[in-house]
Amino acid sequence: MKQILASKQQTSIRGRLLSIMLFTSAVVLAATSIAFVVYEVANFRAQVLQHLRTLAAVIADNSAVPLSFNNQATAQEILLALKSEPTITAAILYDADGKLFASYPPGLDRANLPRPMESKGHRFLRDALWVFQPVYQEGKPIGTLYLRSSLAEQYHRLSQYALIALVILVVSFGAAAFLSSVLQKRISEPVLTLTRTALQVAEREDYSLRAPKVTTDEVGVLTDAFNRMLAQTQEHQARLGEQARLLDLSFDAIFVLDAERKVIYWNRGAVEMYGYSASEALGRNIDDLLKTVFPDDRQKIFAHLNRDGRWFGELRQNRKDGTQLVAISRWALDRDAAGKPAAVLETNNDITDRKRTEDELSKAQAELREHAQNLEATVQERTARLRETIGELEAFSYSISHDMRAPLRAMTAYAKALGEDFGEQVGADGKAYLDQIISASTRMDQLITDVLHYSRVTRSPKLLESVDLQKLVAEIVAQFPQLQEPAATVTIEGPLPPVLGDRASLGQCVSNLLTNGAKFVAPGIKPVIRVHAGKASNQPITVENRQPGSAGQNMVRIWFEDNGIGIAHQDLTRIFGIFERVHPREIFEGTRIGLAIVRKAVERMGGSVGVESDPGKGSRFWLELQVAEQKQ
Amino acid sequence: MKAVLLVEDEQADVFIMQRAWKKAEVENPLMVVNDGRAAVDYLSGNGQYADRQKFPIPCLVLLDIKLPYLSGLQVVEWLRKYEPCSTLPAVFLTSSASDMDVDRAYQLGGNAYLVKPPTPEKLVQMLQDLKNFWMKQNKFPPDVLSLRNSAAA
Repeated sequence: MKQILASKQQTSIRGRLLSIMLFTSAVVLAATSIAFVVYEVANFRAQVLQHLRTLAAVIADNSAVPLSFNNQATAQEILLALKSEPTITAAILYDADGKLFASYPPGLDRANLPRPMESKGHRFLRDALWVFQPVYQEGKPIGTLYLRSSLAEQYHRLSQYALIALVILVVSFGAAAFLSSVLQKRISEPVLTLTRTALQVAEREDYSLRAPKVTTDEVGVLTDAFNRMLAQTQEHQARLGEQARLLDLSFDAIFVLDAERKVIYWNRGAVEMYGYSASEALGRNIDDLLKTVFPDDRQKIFAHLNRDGRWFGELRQNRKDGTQLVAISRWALDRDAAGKPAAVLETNNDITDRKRTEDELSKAQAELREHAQNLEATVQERTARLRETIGELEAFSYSISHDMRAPLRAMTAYAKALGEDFGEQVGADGKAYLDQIISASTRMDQLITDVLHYSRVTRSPKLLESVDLQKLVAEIVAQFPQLQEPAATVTIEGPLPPVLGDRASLGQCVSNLLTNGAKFVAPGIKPVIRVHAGKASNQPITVENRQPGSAGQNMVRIWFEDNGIGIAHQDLTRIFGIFERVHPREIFEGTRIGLAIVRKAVERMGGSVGVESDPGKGSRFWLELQVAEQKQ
Repeated sequence: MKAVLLVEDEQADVFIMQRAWKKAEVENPLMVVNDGRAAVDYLSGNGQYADRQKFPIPCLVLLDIKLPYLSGLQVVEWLRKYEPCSTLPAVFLTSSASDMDVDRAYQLGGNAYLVKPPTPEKLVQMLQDLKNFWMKQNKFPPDVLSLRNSAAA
């Protein structure tokens, strides 16, 4: 097709050049020939006429005498002399009256003779020329001479001329044709070369070709321009190729659609994503090819694209192997110069896996939420149950304090009444038994009191205030006779700093520790207890780390050192548990709750309790408490 | 010497109280009822309590909180609204030391709140203190009804 077109173009430009040249030559030659022939004809006629006139003048001159003397024979002889002029085919001499006086040749056909004329003149006929010459005698016309010349010979000559002209014409034309066909190449060859290069470029799409520059004329300029254009195109193509290569690097499917949504570009990402090669996809309608399912009405989507120039959304599409995928698709509209939609660039991203993950994630989240709700419900349920339990516990402790102690009081009271009123009757043993009853019920009462204390400590709201520890310890010592001289020696090696705590709970702790210290001593030893403040073990109090109000930052350790029996190492932690006791009841009275109350109360105040002890060398109990800001 | 009314359902406590009452040598006679309803009946003179020779109006009421039929708190609540006895001093004597009970007792119009001591000796001590304060130091409110009646006359 292209070849045919090319050859046609080739003949066309060559042919046109040739025909222009040949036509020009032909016209010039023809005009020259015609002018030549016309000139020849005119010249010939003029020559013939001139010759015939001269001849007629001579004969008319000669004939004047015979005519004036009416000598016909002489006139006839004069006319006979015309034999020497082969072209004269007839001669007639009329007298003044117009009567035929003499004629030539002798047997001249008298028909169709010209009428005598008075004036000079000539008349061309088809093959002959008539010339009229008046005959003068002393200036008076006495007759007229007619000469007829045949033009045949002249025509023959003329036809020879024409033949020669024709031959020259043909030869000239041939020469012109040859020269044209040779010379036209000088113009057409550069054009054809350029054309051939252009065709090769078009055919092979090889923009590295260059047209050879043959001339420096306009075609040369054109060639240069063409080559420059090729160079630019080559550069553009290289850049396009680079861009296309980069587009091919994309994981996303990138393709371009024309106005009818037919694929005009298809990158490697698209090949990998959909399984269609570029050649399979190019020219196909994208929606038919991928069986696209749109998230919305197609018309709406296209209207949106047309209005905004962009659209994005999720598409369900089929791969070549028939499997479905979900793609997040971004469209960008390209408009032509007139603003009409020309092409659409689509970038599609396969989110099938992500979608599935998202679905699973949201399912998992929903389950988690459900679990959380269940959990919350469970927590609420349990909290409610716990509250109920606490309520019951409070009712229980209330009941203990109110109801259970009444029988104890009764036992003690009746036992005492019995001893007082009927002491003599029960005897010494009886009184001892009564003392046992009283002692047991008193212990029971103390136990109940302590349990109630313990539960109150654990439940009491945590309201921390600044407590003057120095004063508190002194007050407690004053409350308990067993802590005072001469029963015991309690020394406060002050000053003790004010601490953050609940006054009542803290009082409970201090009294428990002090009474314990006074209680657990070897027989016959007077309890000696030293109370003093020290640095917290792991957090030395420095100016730098004093931060008011922050628990654990600014602690003080209050020591309670006694000279008691001490505690075995294996028991050091056990003693703070409720109902734990390391000494048999027979030796030391106690409800085994005191230290548990201390621990609980101190922990609720953000502090801690501990003990260092060696059996027989006394115990060193300590409380760690938050230091309160001193009011300055 | 005006009587003191003890409202106590626990027989042992009544026994301990009566014994301690004697030991503390409180001269006022101690009248006893065993439940809240009986206390209300006594004070308002219902039924058998109409006999004021036998059941005189007390100058002081000692109440436990936990009582049959009506609690001690309910009795005081009623007492404050019952005009003839609206100013009668009421002292709670109970084994409950719960803050809630103490608060409620004063809110309803109790005049004092005592916790039953654990031992009879301490109870005797407490009653001696009570005698010293209420019977010797304290001035009782006047008999409201007679005061108003005389004012009216």
